Amino acid sequence: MKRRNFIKVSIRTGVVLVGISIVKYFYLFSRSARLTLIEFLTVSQVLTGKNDLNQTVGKKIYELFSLDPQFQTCLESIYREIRSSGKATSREHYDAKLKIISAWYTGIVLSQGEWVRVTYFDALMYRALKRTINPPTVCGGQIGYWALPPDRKNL
Amino acid sequence: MSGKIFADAVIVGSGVAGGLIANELARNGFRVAVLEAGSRLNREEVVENFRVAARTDLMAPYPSAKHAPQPELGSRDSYFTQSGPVKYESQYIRAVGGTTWHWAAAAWRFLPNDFRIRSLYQVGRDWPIDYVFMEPFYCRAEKELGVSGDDLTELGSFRSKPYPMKPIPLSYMDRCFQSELKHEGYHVVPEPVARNSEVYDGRPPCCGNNNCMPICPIGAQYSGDVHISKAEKAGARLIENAVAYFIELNSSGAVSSIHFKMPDGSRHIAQGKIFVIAANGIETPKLLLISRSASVPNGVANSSDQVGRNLMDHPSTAMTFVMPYPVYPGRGPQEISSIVNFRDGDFRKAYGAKKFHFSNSVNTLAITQSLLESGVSGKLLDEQIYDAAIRTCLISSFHEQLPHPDNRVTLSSTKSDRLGIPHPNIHYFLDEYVINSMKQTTQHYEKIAKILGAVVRSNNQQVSLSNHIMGTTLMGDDSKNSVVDRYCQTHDHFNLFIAGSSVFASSACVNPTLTLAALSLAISDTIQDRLGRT
Repeated sequence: MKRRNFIKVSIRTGVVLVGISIVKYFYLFSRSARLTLIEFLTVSQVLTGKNDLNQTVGKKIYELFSLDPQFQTCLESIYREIRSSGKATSREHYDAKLKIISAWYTGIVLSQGEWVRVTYFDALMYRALKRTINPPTVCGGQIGYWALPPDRKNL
Repeated sequence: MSGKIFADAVIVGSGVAGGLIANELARNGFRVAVLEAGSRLNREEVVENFRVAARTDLMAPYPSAKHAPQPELGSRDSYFTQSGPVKYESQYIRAVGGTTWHWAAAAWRFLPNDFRIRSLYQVGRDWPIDYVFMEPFYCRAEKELGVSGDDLTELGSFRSKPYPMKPIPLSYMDRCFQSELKHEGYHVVPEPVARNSEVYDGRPPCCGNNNCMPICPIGAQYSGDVHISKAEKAGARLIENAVAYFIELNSSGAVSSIHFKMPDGSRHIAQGKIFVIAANGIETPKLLLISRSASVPNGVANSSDQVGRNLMDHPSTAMTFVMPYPVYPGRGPQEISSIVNFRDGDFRKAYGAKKFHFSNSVNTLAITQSLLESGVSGKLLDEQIYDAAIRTCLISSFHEQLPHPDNRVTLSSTKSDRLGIPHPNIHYFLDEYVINSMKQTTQHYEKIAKILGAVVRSNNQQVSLSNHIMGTTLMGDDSKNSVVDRYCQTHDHFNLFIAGSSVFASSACVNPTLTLAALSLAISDTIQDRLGRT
């Protein structure tokens, strides 16, 4: 059920769209045996639908995931899927795909049984709040700004 | 550091209670030494700790010192050993400034009736003091901590002075709730809070960082280190990482010194005329119980056998609900309003008083994880995170708990820290007085959701505790069944005082900090009077 939802939702929402830069990349570079960081970022872009992912954060996620020997196998498979179809909506490697999306959105990664934070401010979940609600610890404005709803013009 | 310290007053603990007393005594010219088990904290470092931690609980940014461990939620190696049916999971920070590094800053006064529940409702215990005695100290405490409040809102505790600062404005969410619930009789009020609504005492006004718990990044919210800094400027000596482990008595039964260890295991002694234990509701009885000797085989101040007993907290339940329209929680401080209908009444003969409060925060992480687990991704994920964030709300509660001798802190027989000091053992349970109140709370939650037109996401009776540790050295006139008298002086030792919420004879249903701060100022007056005469 979860996998079906994932595919349905992915198709519906256009996660499948790949930026021109990514397509160009496929043609310019050949596949290596072990996927590189840049290829991981490509996969991440397709899975999250975001083409401006922070590379430093990506490096941390990539390195943590790479501690799992199974990860490269999954990543290669997802990469092949993207390369052949331009999307990553198959049921295959659903858990790995979810882990990658989850890492980018939440900023935390479960690595070798321990949760590790890879980013705070660049977690995509905060971007989804459209600056209506600031991430905790960030000053929201002058005292009392919260008494009114956010200005919809800015949303 | 030399092996011996001399002071007029030796204070163990540098939280709100210890800090206020230290400051009062030092600024009036007395020599003060404060022993703190933990170390100094730097606000910027704590904020950074929070941002880099994967854990999101209140203790995550406050790493436990190896020489002075502290309770931590979800830790594999729990600080407390537990022997009761309910796991006692309140937390506290062992560091300079104490646990007000993370708190909601709610600065409630008790109601006059909270001090006499035995007389009025035939349950629990009366305090030996009343609200009339406390009122001027409440005023002083509000001034010291810097409390913002609404003078026009009647909260049932009469005031002789206005609040030091104008109230913190209600959030849009609070105003929506206030407007909708008032027609059904729910009284939503702005909470009095020790959080600046204007520049006060050199600290800035709140700018809505929405991170009061676990750390206010700008110090707009009061924390106990404020008064420790003031005390040091006035001449008090703070010794950090000094773990008190023994209270020594002289032949006449007075306290002669406090023994403490440093992280390297070295032993030191603090001598004084007056001693104050202000180490919180668990560390205070722990120290008293450890300090057994031939003359006091049950520990210091424990002739009544009440040290460690009568542990109270504010057991809490919560409801998560989704509003039919955006209310935008998470903007401003994390807690601004409360429902105060159920703080007092004849019902207290049968079940506990309670206060409800709305959480003005968004659990973006939980929302996101839940959506991801449901298979939502892509653009829809962003949309649904946003939609859930602006409509998902939480109401929770504090329930009054009665003092019960079997709810108690003792010394662990199985665990000790690296300095050889036993960990606390907790035996804790909830009686019908609390459970029946919680059942009624669940019904109120359902009614509130219905009035708001909200969809209930969860409204179970899963109990959490509130870090409001009370009662373990409680106050009374009778030395046979209480530990301290009305002046917070131990019945057994004329020069030993106890400061903090451990002296509370009843828990009421509001945050205890302002009341313990007021009592600390009363203690400092008593001590000054005493020292002035010696």
